[in-house]
Amino acid sequence: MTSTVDAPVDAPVEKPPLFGKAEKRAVLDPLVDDNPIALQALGICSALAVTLKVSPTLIMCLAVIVVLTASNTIISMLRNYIPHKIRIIVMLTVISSLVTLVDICLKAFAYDLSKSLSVFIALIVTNCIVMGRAEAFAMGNPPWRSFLDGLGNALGYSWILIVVGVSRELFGAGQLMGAQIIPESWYAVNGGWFVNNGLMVLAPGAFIMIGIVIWIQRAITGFSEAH
Amino acid sequence: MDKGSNKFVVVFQTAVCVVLAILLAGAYNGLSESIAANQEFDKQRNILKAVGLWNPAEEAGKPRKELEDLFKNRMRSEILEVKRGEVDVEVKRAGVVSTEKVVKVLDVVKTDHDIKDFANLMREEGKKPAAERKEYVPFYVRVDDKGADEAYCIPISGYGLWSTLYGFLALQANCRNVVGITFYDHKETPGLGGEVDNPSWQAQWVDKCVRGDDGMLTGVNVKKGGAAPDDPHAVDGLSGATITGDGVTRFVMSDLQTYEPYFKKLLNG
Repeated sequence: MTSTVDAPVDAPVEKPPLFGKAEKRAVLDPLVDDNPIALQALGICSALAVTLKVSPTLIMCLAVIVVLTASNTIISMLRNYIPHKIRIIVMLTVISSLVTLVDICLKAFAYDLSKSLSVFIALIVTNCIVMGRAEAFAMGNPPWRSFLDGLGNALGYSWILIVVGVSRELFGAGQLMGAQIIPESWYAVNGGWFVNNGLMVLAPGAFIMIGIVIWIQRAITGFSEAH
Repeated sequence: MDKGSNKFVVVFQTAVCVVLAILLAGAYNGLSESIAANQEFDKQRNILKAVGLWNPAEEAGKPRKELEDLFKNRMRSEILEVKRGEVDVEVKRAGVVSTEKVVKVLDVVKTDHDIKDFANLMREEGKKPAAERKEYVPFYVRVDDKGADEAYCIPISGYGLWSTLYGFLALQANCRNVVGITFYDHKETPGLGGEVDNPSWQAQWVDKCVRGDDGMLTGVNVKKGGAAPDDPHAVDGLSGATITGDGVTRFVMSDLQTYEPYFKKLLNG
């Protein structure tokens, strides 16, 4: 177990505030200071795979937000009952059921996007962020705070994915959400200066973009691995 | 009950599984109809793509209604009785349409709402030993305004590396040259075997010849290392996906063979 386990505060003498310091930290920390992708380097796999275009990226973010908040909340509600020996199995059962649920909903309501995301929705099960937050946070914190932590981490994951997705589609295809953004006249074939960047449509393009985001982010926060 | 005991562990995990299973089963039950409708439309769209009536690269945003109308107006669905190599008029009259590769007895019963006799007939077929059972496969004909056949589209499916690939292959009315190929469902590795979805790879199939000069079926070979540019019977293999490519070669050929008796009859008038 990790250090974030709190004392048995389930029976507090006074009602804890809805948005106390701990709650704010649960949401805001993962956005920048403790970002799951930029700082903890978790969930990189899907960040590489689904960020080719913006629309699948958005659906992926939405799916992760739903799964992460729901799994954190459910695990947190069960945390005092889950036998320690099988806690990972219980987490996986809950997470994979939620992912299947999301997958079914996508197939019913956004069939084309669910096809373009192919296996990556199912792979949310193995997204380290989801398991990581269940183990590190939800097992030791009350449901509301776990919900916020899940939301914060999912949003921290999402904004990086969206930044990467926007730059890859813009520079790789000159488009955003499938609509042409770079005017045709800018293209080199039409006498302009712009050429679609082939690197951006390949996986290394995503690596480089994530690297740049991490670089800028660490330059601002002054974070260093050495500490 | 002691929380550390084996009994509690078993009871707890069983309870979690039962609750989640009920939740998932409920969700799937509630949504299965619209999922099935989406899948059926996806197949129709892919048939249109294979016969060259819909180009997803240029007409991606075409409304669903228009595509469904196009399918209704320009495509004729047929059912072939495999062993006789003939369109089964009985079945056709029953209006049975299914995009499944092999129309299973149960599937036919399910898709057929009106004709009780036909459902009974199919049930009887289902009781016969496999060797005597009639097998039905669907195919689709692109027709022009006057109803003349322009292209034949057959379902293709078979194993690649990890999964069964499902798709359609369309031939010109001469039953010789490919109009188009498409896959609508597979679980091959994205970027490797998954490149069967790549439009520029699929474009190589256009006009390839599935028969030799003597009229015998040759199929189309997905050739590792690349096909010679003037080879009418081969397309380039996919890098890192030799097994998927071999699978495609194999099942395209075997599916063509299924329909060959019918094509032969067409060609010989």
